Amino acid sequence: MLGVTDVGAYFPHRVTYHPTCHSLRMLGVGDRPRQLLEQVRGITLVDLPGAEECCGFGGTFAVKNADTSIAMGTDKARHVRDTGAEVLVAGDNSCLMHIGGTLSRQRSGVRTMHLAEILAATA
Amino acid sequence: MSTFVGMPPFPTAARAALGDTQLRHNLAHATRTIRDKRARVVAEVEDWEELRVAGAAVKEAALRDLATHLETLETSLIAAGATVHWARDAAEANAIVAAVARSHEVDEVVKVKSMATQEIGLNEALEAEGIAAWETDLAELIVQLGGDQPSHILVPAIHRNRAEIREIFLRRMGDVGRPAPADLTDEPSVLAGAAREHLREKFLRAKVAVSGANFAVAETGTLVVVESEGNGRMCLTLPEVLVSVVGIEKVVPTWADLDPLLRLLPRSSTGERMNPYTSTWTGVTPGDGPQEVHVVLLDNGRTRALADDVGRQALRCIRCSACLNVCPVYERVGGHAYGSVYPGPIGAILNPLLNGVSDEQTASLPYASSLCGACFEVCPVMIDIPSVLVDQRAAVVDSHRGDRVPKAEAVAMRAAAYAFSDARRLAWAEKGSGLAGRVVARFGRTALPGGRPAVGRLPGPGAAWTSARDLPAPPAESFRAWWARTDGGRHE
Amino acid sequence: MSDARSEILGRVRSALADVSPAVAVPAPPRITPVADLVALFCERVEDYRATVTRCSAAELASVVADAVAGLSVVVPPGLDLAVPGSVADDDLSAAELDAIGAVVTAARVGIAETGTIVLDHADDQGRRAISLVPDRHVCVVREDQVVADVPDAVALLDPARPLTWISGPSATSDIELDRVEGVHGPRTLHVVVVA
Ligand code: SF4
Repeated sequence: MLGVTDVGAYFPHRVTYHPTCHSLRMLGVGDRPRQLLEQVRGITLVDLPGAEECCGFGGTFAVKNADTSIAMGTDKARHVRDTGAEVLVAGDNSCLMHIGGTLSRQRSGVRTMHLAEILAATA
Repeated sequence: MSTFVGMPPFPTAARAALGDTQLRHNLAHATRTIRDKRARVVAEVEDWEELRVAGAAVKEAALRDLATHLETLETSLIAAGATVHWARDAAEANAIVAAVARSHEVDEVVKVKSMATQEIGLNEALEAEGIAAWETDLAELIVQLGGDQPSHILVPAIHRNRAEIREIFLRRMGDVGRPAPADLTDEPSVLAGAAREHLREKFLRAKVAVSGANFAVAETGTLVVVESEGNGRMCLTLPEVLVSVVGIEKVVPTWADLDPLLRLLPRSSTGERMNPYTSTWTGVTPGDGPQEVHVVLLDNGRTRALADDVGRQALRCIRCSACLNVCPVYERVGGHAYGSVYPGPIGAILNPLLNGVSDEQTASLPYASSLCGACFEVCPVMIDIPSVLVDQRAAVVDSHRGDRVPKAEAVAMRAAAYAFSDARRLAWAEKGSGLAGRVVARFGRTALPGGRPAVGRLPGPGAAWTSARDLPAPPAESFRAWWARTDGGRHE
Repeated sequence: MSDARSEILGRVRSALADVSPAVAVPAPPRITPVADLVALFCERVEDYRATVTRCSAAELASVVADAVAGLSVVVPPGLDLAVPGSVADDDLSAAELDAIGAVVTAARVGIAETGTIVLDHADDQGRRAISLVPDRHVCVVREDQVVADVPDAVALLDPARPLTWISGPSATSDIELDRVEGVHGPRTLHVVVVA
């Protein structure tokens, strides 16, 4: 999937991308997902400030250290809102659940989508 | 001993810290500054990764043959005129230092900032013997005068801003020596000047100094202290007697081994190409510096950590504090929440390794991380902190294995470990969550933008999640199932 | 204390009973050599907000005299340079040194990559206290003493001697991680690089 450059997708929205710790640091995917997103027709990709910082999910962390997790998620959600994006994209459903849950509680109107959903989008 | 007595477990302490606006502001500002500086000077080194590999290898080689290197170190030190002491624990180390001070009939010692002496509570032990231990590092002085606890390895007063420091100096310096000038401002250079004046009289009259060491070279008997302010040089040079408390993991086999470490440490730590001052000394040099030199080799839990196959690597730590500065958890809660002189990611593994996880506070530390991996990425000696955290969580779960009623989390951990141990099982678990998604979706009370169902506030164990976040119902079809059904999105 | 000694060594041995001591330690990487080491050295020393003056051997005496003008000066007994009005160190006490304004020393090695000078406290540099207590340190480094990087310096230096590695004036970042020059060591560092 990552060798592909013409992804043939169409997604006419303002989008920001959270790289997720797992893909950034453990899989070493680097900025390839971003490059793929740049290939999507119609997309407006905006930089997410503090993108590399963890969203605060961390599995059991989100529950065992809920206060700290929420503080991290809140900062991440604030950065997302600051971009004015309609959609936050990431390659990890856990992070999306966490940031999306925070954005939802804040009634921010920002939608979260998995990277694969965008790359498969045709309308 | 390395943990503060009576500290609540991490989540409780963290909650209090998160509510302190001033603290969060101070920490965010300071950690951002140091992160940026580090990134700049690390980017300058083209082979930084190779340098990390070399640094990690030097320390690993030292640890794997530690007994041999310790014996060599002892022999070299004695040959160079030093007296070598061994201390199994904090009490033994403190007693040795106190005995040296008493033998010179002093009622004060000057101190170079040292994690080992903080770990063993040396100042308090000396105070109990009627000996004042003056901290001479600026940040340590701020902590000591403020009656405070350190909150960072490198910058123990990182939680204080300039206005607070000015206030502490004005209020407290006069009680223990030369007072701060009445017109003291909160300019950092003015505050540093006040510390210079205050401490100089102590340096000039001190007979006994206490230090730690960043490295101890076995083959030569050389100790190394890396510092910035010159307080270290003062303590290592002017007094007649020098006692250095050195953790047994500080040993490196050869003089040449210092090369990668002296390159890695300043760039990782203060974000400089080199720190202002590095002092090395080998026993006694006639006519130059202290003529009576003691070295206390300290265990205090290190052999416990050494026996842990996964955790042993934590003993490679060179205390640069880069892992603290990049840690999103540390940045928000600060050092005090960890309840130890070793805070942050390294503290979250080192304290359980040194002390075991039998007390609730230490047992809470391996969970004080989202496992984002930023610490591993910056660590100059490549300590895989996330893996050690996970392993220590298992140790915590194990320590509850004898409990009659299994803790809910032990059950969840075991289930997770089972599910994640095999990709096929992960696929099953995801199918399960798809099923759960369909069930939750039916009862979902809110909807995420885009029409996706979401769960609002849940009672019971789910409350920790939903106090500030909605719980999106798991998608009715998981990514894996979608990928399989549509042949990677080709036949949606 | 031999009791503690054997117990600690015993614990170490049993902790490592099943661990192979063999670890391959790769040679640390070397930096790409730069053409003009001395220029890099001067630039890096200046980055620490130290003063750097380059001069010829003939100019050295007057450059050093200017650098300590108006101050009382101590010099190590073996300094190969006449500094007008200076006193040679004769085991001065710390309090006596505290009353002196400046010190002039030679150096053992200069490290270009990091802008570091290293003193090994030989006779032309003096014992450690004299380059520590006075507030201004004028340090004379010969161009041929400048090496590329830390490993070159480590290879040259004799660990049996006390060593002081100096990178700029005394500094602290303890207040809000703002770097401030000048705490306990000399607040002014003047490096004279002589051809
Ligand atoms: S664990 Fe690594 S990054 Fe953290 S203080 Fe130790 S050496 Fe530095």
